[in-house]
Amino acid sequence: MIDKKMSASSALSALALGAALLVSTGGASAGECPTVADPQGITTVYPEQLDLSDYQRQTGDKLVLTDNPLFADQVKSGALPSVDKRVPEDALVYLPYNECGKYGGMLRGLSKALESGTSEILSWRQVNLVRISDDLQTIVPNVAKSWEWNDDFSSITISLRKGHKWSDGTPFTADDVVFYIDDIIKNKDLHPTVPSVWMVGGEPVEVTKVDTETFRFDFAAPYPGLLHFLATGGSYFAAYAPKHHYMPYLLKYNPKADEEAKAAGAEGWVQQFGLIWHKWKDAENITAHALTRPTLESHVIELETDTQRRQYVANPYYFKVDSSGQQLPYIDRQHERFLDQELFILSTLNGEVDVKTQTLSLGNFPVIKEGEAKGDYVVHRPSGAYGPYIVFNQTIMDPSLRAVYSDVRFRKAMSLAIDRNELNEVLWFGLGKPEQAVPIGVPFVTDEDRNYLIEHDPAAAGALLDEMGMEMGTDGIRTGPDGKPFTLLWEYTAQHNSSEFATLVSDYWKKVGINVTVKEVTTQLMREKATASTSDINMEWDVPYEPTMISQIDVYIPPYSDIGPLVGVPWRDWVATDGASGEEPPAWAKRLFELADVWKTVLPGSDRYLEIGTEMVKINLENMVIIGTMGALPRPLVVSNKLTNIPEAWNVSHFNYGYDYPYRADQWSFK
Amino acid sequence: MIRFVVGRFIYMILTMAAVSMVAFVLIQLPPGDFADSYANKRQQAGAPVTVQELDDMRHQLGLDRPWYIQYGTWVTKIVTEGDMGYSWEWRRPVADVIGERLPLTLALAFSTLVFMYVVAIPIGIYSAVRQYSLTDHVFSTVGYVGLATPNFLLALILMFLGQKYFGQSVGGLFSPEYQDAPWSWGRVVNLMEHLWIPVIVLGTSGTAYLIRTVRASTLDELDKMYVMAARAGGLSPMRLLLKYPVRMALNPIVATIGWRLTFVISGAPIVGVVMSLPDTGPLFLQSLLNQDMYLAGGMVLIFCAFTIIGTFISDILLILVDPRIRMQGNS
Repeated sequence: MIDKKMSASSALSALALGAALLVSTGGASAGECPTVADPQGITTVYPEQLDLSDYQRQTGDKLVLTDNPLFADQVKSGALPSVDKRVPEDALVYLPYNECGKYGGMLRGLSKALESGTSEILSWRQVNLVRISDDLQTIVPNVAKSWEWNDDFSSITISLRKGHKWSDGTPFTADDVVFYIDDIIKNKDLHPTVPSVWMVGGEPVEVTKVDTETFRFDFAAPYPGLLHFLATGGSYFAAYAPKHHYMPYLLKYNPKADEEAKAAGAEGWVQQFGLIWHKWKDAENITAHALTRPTLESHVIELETDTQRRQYVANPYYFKVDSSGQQLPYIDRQHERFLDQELFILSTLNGEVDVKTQTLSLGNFPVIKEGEAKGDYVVHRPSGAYGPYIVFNQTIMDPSLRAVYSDVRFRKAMSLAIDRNELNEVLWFGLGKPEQAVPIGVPFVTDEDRNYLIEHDPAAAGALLDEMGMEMGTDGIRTGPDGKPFTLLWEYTAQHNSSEFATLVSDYWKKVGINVTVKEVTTQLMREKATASTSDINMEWDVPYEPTMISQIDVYIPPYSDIGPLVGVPWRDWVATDGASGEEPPAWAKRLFELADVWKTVLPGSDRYLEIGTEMVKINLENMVIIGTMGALPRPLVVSNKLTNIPEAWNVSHFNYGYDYPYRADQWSFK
Repeated sequence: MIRFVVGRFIYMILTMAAVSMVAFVLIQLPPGDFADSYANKRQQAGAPVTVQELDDMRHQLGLDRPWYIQYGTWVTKIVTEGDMGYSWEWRRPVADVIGERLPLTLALAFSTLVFMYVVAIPIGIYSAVRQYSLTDHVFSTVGYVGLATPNFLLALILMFLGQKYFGQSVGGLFSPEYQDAPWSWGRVVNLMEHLWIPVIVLGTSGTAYLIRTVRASTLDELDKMYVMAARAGGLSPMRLLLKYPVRMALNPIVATIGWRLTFVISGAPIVGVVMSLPDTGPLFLQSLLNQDMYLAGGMVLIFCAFTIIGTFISDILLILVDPRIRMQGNS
C-alpha cells in the first residue's frame, strides 16, 4: 500500500528530465489522448497518472503544452507567462477518465452555508502532498513528486516538483513546508500544543529542508500512517503555506505585526493571523483577504464571498496537464450557492446544480430519481453510510447503572433484542443491511464479524438478563441486579439519531423488560454529559474506514472520540497519567490501549497489521462496546449529464475519502 | 411638541441601552458557545475536531473572558466607533454582513407593506360599506384563510407551484445567473419574478388582519351621529366616506406602522429560511443557532431600533392625523 522507495520509473524519469523537456504554446497535437478508458499503451506506476518526464519517455514524443483560452489575453499582454513557464518542469500528467476535455464552463454546486457540513465543493479544487486514488486504496503523488521512507518509518524525505508555483506566480519550495511546520504548527502563540497529527511518540515533528525541492520529516517514533492521514482524514489540511504571503503577519518576521493587526481592528497579531489563516481551508476562504492569498489548488477565489455564494476561477499556475498537453483544470469556474437545505431537492429537480454529493438524504431518493430526465442528471447511489450506533456508558458515575452497563451480558442482550430487519424496512426502505459496526474496507473484518449477534432473538436476550439477576416483575418490567427498580434514560440528539429510531429501539427493549425513557437533548449538552461520564448511552461516532484506522486509531479505542466520548474517559485518563488519576480500565480496554500503541508503528498491509487489526475488531466486538444497527446504506448523489470524465461507478461519498476528491474534479469537463 | 419629541428621544436611548444588555445576556444563555457549535458543524461534515482546537479557538475569540467584559467591549466599540464587532461565522465585520442584506430586506419589507395597504384598505372599506353582502363574505373567508395559513406552508406551496409550472429557480431573489450581474432590465424582471412569492406570503396574514381592522373600525364610524349629520347635509356618499369614517378608521393602522415594519423585517425569518431569501431573517436565525454572538446581538439591536423608531414615528403621525389625541401633559 505504501511505496517505500521511490519507484524505479520515476528515478529513471528524473535522469531523463531536462533533456526530454521541450514545450511550447500553441499548435497542439490533439490527436493523441491516452485515457483511463483507452490508455493507448501508456503504462503508469500509480493508477491513472504519471510524471511528464515519464510520459515523454514512453511516447518518445515532445508533449506540446496548450493553454486555457481564459488566460489568452493575459498571456498576450504579458500579465501571465506562457503555459510552459507556468507549470512545473515535471508536471503531473493525468489520463482523463474518458476524453481530453474542452475548456470552459461553470461548475455549479450547492450548500447550506459556509462550513455547514453540507458542502463538498472544497473537495473539487483541493490539493495536498499526496492523494488517495479512486480505488480508495492507493496513495498517489500529487503536489509531492515522490517520497522515500527510512527503514523504520520514522523519517520521510519528500520531493516537490521543480518550478512549481503558487497561484500568484511565486515559486513553491521546501521553505513553504518548513514555514508551515515551524512557524505555524509549532508556534506556541498560535497552537499552545502541537496538533496531535504532528506529535508522534510524544515529540513534535522535525522538518528539515534538504534543497529547494526536497524536505524531510523526522519523527520520534515510526509513523507509517502519515501519508494516509494526509491523503484522507487530513486531506483538507495542506501541509504547507505560502511563506512570502504570511510572513508580514507574524511577529517573528515583522516587528510591526502587532501594531498593524491592531490598526486593522484585531486585538493583536495572534487574533489577526487566526482570522486569515486556518488549516481547515474552508474557513480562510471566507475573508476578503482570501482574494490575495496564493494557493496551489485548481481554482482560486475570484469574488469576495458573501452570505449567498462564493466563486472560484481556474488557477493559471495549476501543476497538472492532461495527456494531450492541455493544462488542467478544464472547467473555468466553480460556483457555490448557499441555499436552505430543504430547497436542495427543488433546486436539483430544476437542474440548477451540476454535482451534489453531500447531504441529499436517503429519504429524498425516490423524488430525485424520478426527476432525472427533467433535471438532466443521473443519480448515483454509493453505499457505505451507517445507521446509528448505540454505546452503553460502562463508566457512568451512578454505581448501580454502572453495574448493569459494564456487564457484557447486558450489552449482548440489548443487541439481540433489536429487530434490525424491521428497522431497515421502516426507516430505510429496506435498502440497508443489518450489521454490527465494524471498520469498513479493511482486510481483517469477516462476514462473521459483521453478523455477530445481529439476529433478533428476544428469548436469548431475556435469558441473558435473567442470568444477570434482572428479574422480570408482574408488570413486565425488570429490576436491576440489586433488586431495585431499573430505568434506562436514553438521551439522544437529532444530529446522531432520529426520534423514530429511538422510539422503535426503545420499544424492542421494553419488550424484553427494560424500562426505557427517551429524551431528546442538544448536542452540546450530550457532549458535556458524555465527557463527564453521566450519560447512559452515547451515539456520536463514525465507523472507521481503512485510511482513518491507519492514521487515527484513537477512533477505535476508548473513549473513541475526543469531543463526544463514547465510553471510558476515566480509563483514558488513567493510561495518560500512568495511574495517577482516572480509573483502571478493564483488561480488554487495557489491551486495546496497548495494541493501539503498537499499531501506530506498524506498516499498513503487513502481517502484524492484519494480526493487530483482527484482535482489535475481536475485542471491540466480543465486548459489544459499540452496538451497530445497519450498514451499507446508500447515500444518493446527483451528477449532471452535461459533465464528462465522471467516474462510472461512484463508490464513495464520505469525509474519510475527502468526498469527491478521489474522482479528480480537476479533470471533469463539460461536454 | 418639541418637548414631547425630546422626551421621547431620551426614552428611546434608555430603551436601546436596556435592550442591548438583555439581548447580549439572552444570546449568552444557552449552553455552549460559538466554538461548540463550530465543532458541531465540522463533526456533521465528518471532520474531526479536538478539544485542543476548541480551546485555541476560545482563546483567540476571547470567549474565555467573563460576559460583562465581552459586553463592555462590544458596547463601547459600537458607541465610540460604530463598530458592531466581528461575525465569527462569516469572518467579516458584523456591519458588512448585515449591510449586505439590509437593502434587499428593506425593499422586500417596503413592497410587502405597499402590497398589504393597497390590498387591505380598499377591501376593508368595501366590506364595511357592503356589510353582509356576498363579496363581504368572500373577502372575509379569504381573509380568515390567509390569517390561519402558516406562512411557511404557503411559501412551500407557492414555491412548488412556481417550480413545477413556471420552471422558476427556487430560493433567493435572483436566479443564479443574475446573482452577481450588474443591474439591468433583465435583472429587475428576474427580481420581480422572484419577489411576488415572498411578498404574497409575507403579506397575506398582515393583509387579512388589516382587512378585519379596517372593516371593523369603518363600521364603527359609519353609525356615528356626525356621519348621519353629514349625510343629511347632502355630502356625496364617496366624499363623505373618505373624509370622515375612513380617516378615523385609519387610526389603528397608523398606530401600528412602527411595529408592522419590524414585523415584516424580523418577524419573517421562517419564510426567509424556507425560501432562502437573501434578507436578514435567515441570517438572524443562523447567527442564533451558531451562537455567533456579535452578529446576533447586532441584529437584535437593529430590530429593536426599528421598533423603537417606528413607534416614535407612529406617535407623531397619530398626533398629526387625529387632532383629538393630545400630547401628554400638554392638555
